[in-house]
Amino acid sequence: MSIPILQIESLKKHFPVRKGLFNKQVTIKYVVDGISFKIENGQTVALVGESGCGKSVLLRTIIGLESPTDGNIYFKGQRYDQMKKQEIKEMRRRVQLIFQDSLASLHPRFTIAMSLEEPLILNGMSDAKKREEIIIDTLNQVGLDPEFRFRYPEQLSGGQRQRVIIARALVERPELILADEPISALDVSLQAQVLNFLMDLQEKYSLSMLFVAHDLAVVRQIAEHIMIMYAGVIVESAPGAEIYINAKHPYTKVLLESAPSISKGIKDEGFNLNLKIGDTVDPASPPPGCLFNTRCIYADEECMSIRPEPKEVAPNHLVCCHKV
Amino acid sequence: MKQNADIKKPKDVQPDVLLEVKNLKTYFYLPSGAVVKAVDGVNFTLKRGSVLGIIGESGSGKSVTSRSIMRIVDEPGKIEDGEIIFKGQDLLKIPEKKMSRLRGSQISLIFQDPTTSFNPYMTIGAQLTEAYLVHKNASKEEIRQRCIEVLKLVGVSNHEEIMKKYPCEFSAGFRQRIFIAMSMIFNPDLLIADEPTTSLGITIQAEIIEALIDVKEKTGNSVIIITHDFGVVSQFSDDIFVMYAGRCVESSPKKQLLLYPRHPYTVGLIRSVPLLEARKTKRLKSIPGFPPDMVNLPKGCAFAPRCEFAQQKCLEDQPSLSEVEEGRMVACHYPLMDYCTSDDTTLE
Amino acid sequence: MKNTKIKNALSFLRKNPTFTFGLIIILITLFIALFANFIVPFDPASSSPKERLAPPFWSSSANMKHILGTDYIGRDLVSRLFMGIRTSVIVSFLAVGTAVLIGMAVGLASGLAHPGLLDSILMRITDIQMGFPFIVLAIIILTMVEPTVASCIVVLSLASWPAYARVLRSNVMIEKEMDYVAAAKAMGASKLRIAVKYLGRNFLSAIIPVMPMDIAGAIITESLLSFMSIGIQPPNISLGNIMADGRNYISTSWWITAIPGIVVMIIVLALNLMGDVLQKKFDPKLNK
Repeated sequence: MSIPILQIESLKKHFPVRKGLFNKQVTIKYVVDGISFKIENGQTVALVGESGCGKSVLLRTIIGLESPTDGNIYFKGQRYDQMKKQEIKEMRRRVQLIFQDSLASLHPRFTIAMSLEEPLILNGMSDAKKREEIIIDTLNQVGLDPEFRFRYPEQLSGGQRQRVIIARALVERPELILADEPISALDVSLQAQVLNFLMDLQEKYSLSMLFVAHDLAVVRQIAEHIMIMYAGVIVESAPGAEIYINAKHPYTKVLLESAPSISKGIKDEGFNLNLKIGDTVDPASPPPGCLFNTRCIYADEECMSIRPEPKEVAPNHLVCCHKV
Repeated sequence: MKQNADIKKPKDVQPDVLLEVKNLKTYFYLPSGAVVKAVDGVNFTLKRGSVLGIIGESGSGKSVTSRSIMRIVDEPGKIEDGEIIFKGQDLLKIPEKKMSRLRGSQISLIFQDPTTSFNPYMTIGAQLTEAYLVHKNASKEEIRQRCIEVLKLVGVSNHEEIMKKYPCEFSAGFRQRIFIAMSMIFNPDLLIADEPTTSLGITIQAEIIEALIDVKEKTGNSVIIITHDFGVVSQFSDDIFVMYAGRCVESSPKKQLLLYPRHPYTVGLIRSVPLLEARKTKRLKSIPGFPPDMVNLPKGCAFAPRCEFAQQKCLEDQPSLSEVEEGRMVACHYPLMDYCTSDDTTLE
Repeated sequence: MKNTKIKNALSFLRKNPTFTFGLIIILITLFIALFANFIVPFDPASSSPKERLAPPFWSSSANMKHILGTDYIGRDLVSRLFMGIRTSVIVSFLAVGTAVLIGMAVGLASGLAHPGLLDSILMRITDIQMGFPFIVLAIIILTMVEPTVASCIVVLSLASWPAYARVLRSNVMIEKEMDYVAAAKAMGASKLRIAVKYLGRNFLSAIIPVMPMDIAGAIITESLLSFMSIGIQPPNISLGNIMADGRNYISTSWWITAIPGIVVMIIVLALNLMGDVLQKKFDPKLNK
C-alpha cells in the first residue's frame, strides 16, 4: 500500500471577524470545518462545490498560503508542521497551483518569460540560459509558440493565457497539481481543449491532481473520484462513475439536477430541484446540526440538531446524511 | 409626456408572429479604422409565446443582436442595415421617443450582472415604483398592487418585507429574480434575457431558469434567451439559433438540433461541451484552434479554419443559410446530414 | 523587438504634438542644464560695473555683447540664466526624486502593513504633513537650518512625498490581494521579493503621469523660496535669486526679474503639456 501523495485529516480553517476600534473579535467564520480525504499517486480527485462553500480557502491552506486552524496535512506522508525548511522547499516544487483567472494570476508587467522563470529562480536555478531552454521546451509542450514568451499577458487571448498558467505549473516537474476551476473562465469551445490537455499531461507525467469545479458536468471526464463540498464540509465522496448513477446526498442530487444536460432538454423535462427556498449558509453563523438543513426537503429533528458523520454506503462511497 | 402604456392582459387575441428580424447588420467602427462586423446579416422570426435560444461564444454577436433590437447599441457601433419588425412596426424606423416608450413596457431586457442593475441607494419598493412611473402615472395603491403581483409572479410571497429592503441585503441570485419581476411590470410581449445566469452559481441558475419558465407559463410572453451555455438552452427554448462570428450558422427547433445537429460548429460544441451525459470516449472531442479574430475575418466561411470537414470551397465562398430539412436552416456547404448526437454521447 | 518599441515611440510623438512640443523644450532645458559650464558666453560671476544694467537686444541702448542684458553689477544675464536653469533643474529633479523615494518607502510599508498599527501611524504622519501649509513649513525650516542646495532639496521634497505615499499605498493594498501575488507566495517567494519585484513594478505607471507636474511645482516653489532669499543663496545661482537680484530695479531694469520669470513659466508650461498627455495615456478608464 503506497503512501498517498496528499492526505488531509480533519482540516479546519476559521477566520475571526473583528469589529470596532480595537479590532475586538466579534464572531468566527467557519469557512472550512473538518475536511478529510486523500489523493493516491497518479489519481485525479475532483472537489465540486458552489462559490462560498470554502473550496478556494481549502486549496490555499493545502498549498500553504493559509495556516490551518486545526487538523493535519500530509504530503507524501510528511506532516506540514513537522517539515524542515528544506523539505518545505521541496514540497513547494512538487505541488503547484493553477488559478481560475488567468489574467489576474499573471503579473501584468512581467513578460510571459519572466512569469515562467519565477519558479525556477525561486528554486535556485541561476543559469539564465538553462532557464530559457526550459521555458521554450515547456511552451512547446503546452502548444504555444515560444515567441510568446516576450509578450505581456494582456496581449494573449484567454485560452492562451490559461496555457501559460499551466506551463508555469509544469516548469518544475510537479507531482501534484491543485487546479482551482481552471476552465470556468474560458470560452466553451476552449474548455474541452484545456480539459483534454490536462488529461494528457496527467497520463504523460503520472501527475496527481485535485480539480476544483462548481458543477458535476465539468469533471465527468477527468475525475476518478469526486467529493461534494457544502458550507465548509464534504457531504458526499464517491468514485467518479458512481456519483452520477448512485448519488445519495440530497445536495448532490440537486447539483445533478442543475447540471447542463441535453437529455433533459430533449425530453422537455424541467428542473426538478427539490430545494427549499432560502439562501446559502453564512459561514459566520452556521445552523446547528446538518449544514444543509435549511434547504433540505427531508430535514427532520435529528437533522436540525446533530451533525451527521460520514457513513459508508458502498465501497469507497461515503455520505454525511442522517436520512441515508 | 408619458404615454399610457396599458398593462396588457395575458393571452389577448393577437396575430402569431411577434418579432421578425430581417438582415440585421450592426458594425463597429474602431478608431484604428478597422470595422468589426459584429452582426452581419441575421434573420429570425419569433412567434408569440415561444422561446428562442441564441447560443454563441464571445465575439459571436449574440449580445449585440439583443442590443440592436432594443436600439441601445453604444458608440462606435452602428446599426447599418436591416429591419426589426415588432408587432408590425419596423423598430429601426420609428423615432427614438417612441422607442423609449416601448422599452420596459413592451420589450424588456434582463442583463447579466444583477449587481449593477439596481441602484444601491433605493429600496426595492422604491425602484419598482420608479420603473412603473417611467411609463405611466398611477395611484400609490395601484402601483403597490402591481408590485405585489409581479413579485408573486417570480415566486416571492413575502412582498412587504422585500420591498422595504435594499438590494445589497440580498444574494445575487435573489436580485436577479427581483429584476425579472421588475421587467414584467407592464407584461411585455417580449423579454430578452442576455446571459441572465452566467455569473450565478449552478443551483441559482436552475432556480432562475425555473422562474423564467414560470413567468412565461403564466403570462404567455415570448422570450429571447442569449447564452453560451448549452445546458441552459436545452432546458429553456423552443428553437435554437447558433451564432458564430456575427452570423447565424444553424437555426432549428430545439429537439432536432440537440439530436441531429447539422453544422460542424454545432456538432463540435455538442461534442466538446462538458455536459452531464457520459461520453463514449474519455477525451472530449474538442474544436481545434481559437475563436475568430473579428477584425480579421477569413475569406469564405468564418468557421473553416477550425472545421475538420472543411474543403476548398469553404475557404473561398461564404456559405449562406439554406433550408436543409423542413424548418431547419444551416449555413454550410457540406452540412453533416448523417450525424446523431448519440454517436458520441450516451443519451438516456 | 527593439524596432517596434522605437516605432511606437515615434508614432506616439507624432500623434501628440503638444507632448512633443513640451518634450523638445524640456530637452533643450536639460541640455542647457547639463552643459551650462561649457556654453556660457561669459563667466556668470564676473562683474563688469561699466556694463551694468544693459538692456536686452530689443532695446536701442543694448550692448550686443550681452544679448539679454546685464544685472546691477554688470554680470551677463544669459550666462546667469544658464547656470540658474542648471541649479533649478538639479534641485527640482532631486527634490522630486527624494519625494518619490520617501513616498515609495512609506507607501510600500503602509500598504503592506494594512490593516495594522504601522499603517495607521504612517498614514497619520502623512496626513499631518499634507495638512500643514507648506510655505510656512519651508520658511520655518530654512530659517532654522542653513539654506544650502541640499537643505533646499530636502525641504522641497517634503511638499510632495505624501501624495506619492498615498497613491502607492492604495496601489499596494489593491495589488497585494491579486492572484499573481498569491501565486508567487505559493511558489515560495519571500515577502521582500514580492514587495520589490512584484509590487514595486506597478509604481511606475502610478507615478509617471504625476511627475512632470510635480517637477514643475518644485521649480516654482524653489524659485519662490530663492526669490524670498531663503532658498538658494549666492554665490549659487538659481532662477529665483536672479529674480531677487532684480527686485530693486523693477521699474527701470525690469528684465532682470522678468526674464528668469518667463523662463520658469516656459519650463513649467512644457512640463504641464507633457504631464497632461501622460495622464490621459495612463488613465486606465480612458484607455478602453
